[in-house]
Amino acid sequence: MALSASMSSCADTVATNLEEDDECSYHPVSKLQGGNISAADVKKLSDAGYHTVESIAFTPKRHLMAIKGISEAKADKIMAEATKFVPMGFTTATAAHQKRSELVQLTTGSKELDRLLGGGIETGSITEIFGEFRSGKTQICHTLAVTCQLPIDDGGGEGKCIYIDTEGSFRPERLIETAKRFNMNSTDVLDNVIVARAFNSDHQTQLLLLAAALMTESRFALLIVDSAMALYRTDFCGRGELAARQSHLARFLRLLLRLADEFGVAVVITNQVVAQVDGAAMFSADPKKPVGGHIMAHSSTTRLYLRKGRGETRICKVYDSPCLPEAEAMFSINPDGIGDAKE
Amino acid sequence: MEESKIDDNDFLYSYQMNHFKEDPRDPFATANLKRKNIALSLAYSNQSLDNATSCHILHDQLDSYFKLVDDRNGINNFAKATLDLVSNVKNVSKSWKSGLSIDDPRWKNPWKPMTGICYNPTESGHCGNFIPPESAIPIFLGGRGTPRDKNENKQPKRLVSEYFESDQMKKSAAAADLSSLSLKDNFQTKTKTSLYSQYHDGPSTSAERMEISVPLKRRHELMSSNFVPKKNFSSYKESKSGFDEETEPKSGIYHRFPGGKGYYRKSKPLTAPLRGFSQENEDDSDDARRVTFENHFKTAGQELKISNQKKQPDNSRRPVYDDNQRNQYQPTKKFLGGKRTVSSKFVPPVKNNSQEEDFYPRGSDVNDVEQELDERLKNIEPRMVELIKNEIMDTGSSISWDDIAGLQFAKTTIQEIVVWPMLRPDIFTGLRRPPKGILLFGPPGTGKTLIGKCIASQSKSTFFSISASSLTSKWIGDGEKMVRALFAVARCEQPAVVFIDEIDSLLSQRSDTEHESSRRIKTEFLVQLDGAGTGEEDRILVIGATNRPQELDEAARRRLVKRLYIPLPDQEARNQLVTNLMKLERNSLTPEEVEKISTLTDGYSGADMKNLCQEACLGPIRSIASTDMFQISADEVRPVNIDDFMVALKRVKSSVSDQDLETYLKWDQQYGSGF
Repeated sequence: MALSASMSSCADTVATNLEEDDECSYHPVSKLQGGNISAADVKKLSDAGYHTVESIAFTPKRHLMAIKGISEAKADKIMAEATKFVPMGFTTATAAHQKRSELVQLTTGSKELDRLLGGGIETGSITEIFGEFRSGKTQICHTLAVTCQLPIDDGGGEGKCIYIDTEGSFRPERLIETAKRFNMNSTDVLDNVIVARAFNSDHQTQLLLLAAALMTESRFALLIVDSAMALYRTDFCGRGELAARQSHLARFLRLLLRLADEFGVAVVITNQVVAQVDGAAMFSADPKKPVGGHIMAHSSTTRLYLRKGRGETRICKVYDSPCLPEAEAMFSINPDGIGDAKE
Repeated sequence: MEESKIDDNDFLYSYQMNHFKEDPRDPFATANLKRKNIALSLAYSNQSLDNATSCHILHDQLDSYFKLVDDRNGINNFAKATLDLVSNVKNVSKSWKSGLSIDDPRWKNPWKPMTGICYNPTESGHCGNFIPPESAIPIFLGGRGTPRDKNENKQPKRLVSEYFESDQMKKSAAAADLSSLSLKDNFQTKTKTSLYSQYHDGPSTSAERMEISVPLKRRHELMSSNFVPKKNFSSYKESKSGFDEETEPKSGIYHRFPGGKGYYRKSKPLTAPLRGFSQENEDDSDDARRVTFENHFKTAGQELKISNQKKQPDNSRRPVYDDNQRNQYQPTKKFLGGKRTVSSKFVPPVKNNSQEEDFYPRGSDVNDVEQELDERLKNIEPRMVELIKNEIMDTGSSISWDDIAGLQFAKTTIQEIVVWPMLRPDIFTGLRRPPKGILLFGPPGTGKTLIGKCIASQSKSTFFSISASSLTSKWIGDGEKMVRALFAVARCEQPAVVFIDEIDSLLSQRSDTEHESSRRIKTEFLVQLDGAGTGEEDRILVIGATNRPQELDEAARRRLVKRLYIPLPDQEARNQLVTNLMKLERNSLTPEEVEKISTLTDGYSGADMKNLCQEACLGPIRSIASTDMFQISADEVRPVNIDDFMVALKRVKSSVSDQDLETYLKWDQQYGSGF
């Protein structure tokens, strides 16, 4: 079969690529060593959570100075070294266009949905999927965890997946069934998905820092947080803590965006909805809005709204996107993952 | 009253004009228009209808008007204009500095008692005796002691006294990091004397005074901005309240020195060192950090195992989880996952037709072997395994067989032993199995180590380069454990080549006078090379190089099956050596001249030949006058010619004497595999 042939050829190329390691989109922080910056400094940086040169170049200087053992002079030196590696200036739109045309997009398993998204879930940006219960968010996440391991020619990302589960809804059995559908080895598929359970909002952020460290060690294609807001809704209660919640959430989302920029992974977060009980929206059909307020709204690049159709079909609508028009698509949830709706 | 009758058409015209002029973006204008419409409609309807009916008609219009006017985001919002005004105003109060100088006499009596009844008598007298320590100054100067509470009803504003004892104060004092000039001198008195602080009193006797120090120029500002003389500290609330607008602490800030170093934030930025949930380990090795990862993250495979275990609890087997979440007892059909953990590399899940499709498709030998490998390495200390793994040589420069001049027999033998079995393992089985040990011996400088390097780059096996230093250790028993680790790792990384240079230092004759530890290393070596525990199928080749084969222990001799004598180069070899060496240097040597050189260098070893060529190449340099040394370019140096070699021959003599050669030849005849 062409699929397996391409996959086995891809296995060789992936193996050689991993050996060569010159196609990497990020630079490990050990590259800063030498000259003014000693190995001990590099170790301090990596202990503080900065594992790539990009992360250092992207943070403001005062965050670097907050690390124990890094003085202002040292932070200046480190920033100067880091900016040598990372292009942070201007390019032409031609270069940007070319860069975007090489962007990997992960297929969701349903061709309709892929067409709606212009090819699939984009890597390097945050996609937010929200909808009420039973609308298919977790199912999409499970299917994506498998498709991200497909070869790039088949619409995958050829990388591992990190799954941060806050609601306890991760089911490896679904991964096995989806793997069979794409003709993949179940054990390998399961071993390539790294899952962690988050128990509170601080732990969720901590897991993200650990994930950043993990990402430097092997190749990752996808980071799923399911769901990003569940713990925030319960950890911060009431109007009084709203500001604290939003600032914590803003930091979390900023960290997600940083991971997407540095490592070029696709970030998918699911979100819950809240009902609007004041009378303002009484006359509209769907009086729900996503949780998180404007912080969430502005941080996620693409927002997709899911709602239930008839039977096992679901309808996805593009709510916010920098380049996709507002349109709808129907897909269905099958035993082996997400697929096209059968008419 | 005479009202002009409103015409129907006029009414409609006016009404519609007003209605369509309504601009949702400008609520005020819209409100105006609505009012006009209401008035118009009232007037019109009053002409023909009674009041009640016209009110009924006007109901909708009135509703919409009220809605518009009550809109909190539109007209009903009075804050917008105010905020606009305020945002343009610069807050200059923060930069205000007092006109008082330090020497102002008003500082002399900063505190005075208030007249009245004291309700809080303490043992030292009444409240008036209580002198606030200088740590209280920040409170007076406007920093609030505690973070602002959301419900201020619950917690009353902390009194100064409570604040003194709090830990936060101590911490913030520690964090303040200000210069050393202190206000201590100003605020101490003995309890009996007057309660007013004086500049010129002596140091404090009380041990409880906290020493917060404020720089002198800052103190000026501190004191000045909030300072109101002739007020007791017990009226601190009044003095404090006057400065609220200046010293607005943001939530989360609990200490601020106006004009001082800045805010001390309660929450650290996200770059705090990540330590999982264990805070103690400051110097994390990578291993510890990996454990932290695995405490939080699991692969989905592990997760599935756990959930399956939860679903089917089996009393007969008690699954015990160690750190790697590995089952000690294996459930019946399922096989444990391989050693792929959270930190493993991405494995493309390409499906092989040979593998059965199972929940855990096993059945291939690879994973059995992997299990076994891990078990073999499990008994050995990981530190040692790490050390051994660092000895695995990454070839620096690759050397091909052609770089070695002469030594035809040795080269062919080695190729036979090393290269061909890897090409055709099916042929080289059974008795044709390649030997496990090779000994290269000969006079020094003849290329034994070079052969080792060549094998490293040419064979596709893992190459271990071992010397005595990598195997010895100061702890008793470590030496032999290292040897065991070496061979265990070599077994795991089959096919492996272990090259031991100067093997006579490790494996000399065992005698009773030598040290016990060297004895042990030797015996361990012998056991590992060919002992009870070694299997027949292990593809490990040990190559030893030595100058003193006669000192080798006889057990080692027997185990190093092929003993190859690496002789001094013959004429042909010397020819080739010179040619190879001079290839890189500009020279004017003809083949006859090279012949001549090789004839004259009889008895020279390979290293000697190299020395000779080096010496000869210095000849042109010596002929340059020393004055030209700086300006001359590399191209202008004249090429090497035969005269340089003649001169060099006088300087470089052979390093091996004939008697030494005798020993080698004799040993070779007795034990060697040459002909």
